[in-house]
Amino acid sequence: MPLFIYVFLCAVTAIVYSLMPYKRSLIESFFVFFAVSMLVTSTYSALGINMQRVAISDEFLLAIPFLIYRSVLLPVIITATAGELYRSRSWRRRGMILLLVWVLLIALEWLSNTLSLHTYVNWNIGYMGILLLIFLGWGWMVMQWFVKLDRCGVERT
Amino acid sequence: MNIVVYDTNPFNQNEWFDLVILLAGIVVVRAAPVRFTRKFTALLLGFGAFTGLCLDHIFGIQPIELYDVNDSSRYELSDFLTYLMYAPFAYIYVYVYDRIGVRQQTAPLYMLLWALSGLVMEHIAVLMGVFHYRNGYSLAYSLPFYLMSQACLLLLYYRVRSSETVYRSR
Repeated sequence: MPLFIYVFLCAVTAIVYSLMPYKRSLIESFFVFFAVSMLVTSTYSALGINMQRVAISDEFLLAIPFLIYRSVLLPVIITATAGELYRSRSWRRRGMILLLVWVLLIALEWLSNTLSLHTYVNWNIGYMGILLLIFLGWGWMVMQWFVKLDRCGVERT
Repeated sequence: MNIVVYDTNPFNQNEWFDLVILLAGIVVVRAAPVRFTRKFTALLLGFGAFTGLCLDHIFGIQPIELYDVNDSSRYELSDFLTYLMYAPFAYIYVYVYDRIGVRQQTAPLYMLLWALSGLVMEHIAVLMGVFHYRNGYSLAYSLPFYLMSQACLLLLYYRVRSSETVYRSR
């Protein structure tokens, strides 16, 4: 069941992203996805293996949905958000987007915890919320840097 | 999760191996005549590091646990050096492919040659203590991983090239 849920969520996210009217170019989306996925994956591994705070399930049928969630679903959502944040001109709109996506990510985190994909040990959703905010900030920062890379950082489209 | 420690020395041959290969890769990337845009170059380097890190964090941790990287099964700073080591290889792979103009019909042969050289490099890395196989994993099982990641890289190259500017204007 968790595997089905996460494959379904990934499919929905991919469809929504492909239908977004003003998404960033392929090269920008892929690069931000790589950068975000590396940070998210490293953070979960450090939390799970080194710090023993987020214990990943030993069961194969729970570990696979977790890998999908950690390495695909979260990075794709953050990449799409980074593109929208970059496109938005007003800080108010950016704030609204950030808040909405942050709530969505916390809901996803709560879902994966409820489905026992991972278990918190001396850790809680509040700490995770801060990390999710850092992931969103990282995605936005990388997007800003990467979009301007071939233009010496002066223009903006 | 059981933490296995292979080496207590924080900086010895495996870290040196990572560092030397990474530096050699950077030198080659910097020395090669500029061909691609900065964005495309960054994308290729990013793909290399991403593939190394993600595959390791999928197949190297529980419940699969096929291998460990560097001194212990913990995630260490030197592990990140190992993942960065893959970045120049991804760039050089596409650079040479594009430079010598490999046709799509002969691409499998090109991939196989790179995969075999990847196996040789991995064998040396195992001897140097970079990789530690577990649960019956052996060098031969890495071949499909190399072939798949190379196929993905070529797909990315063709897909991006068809829709965006990848060549640097002179």
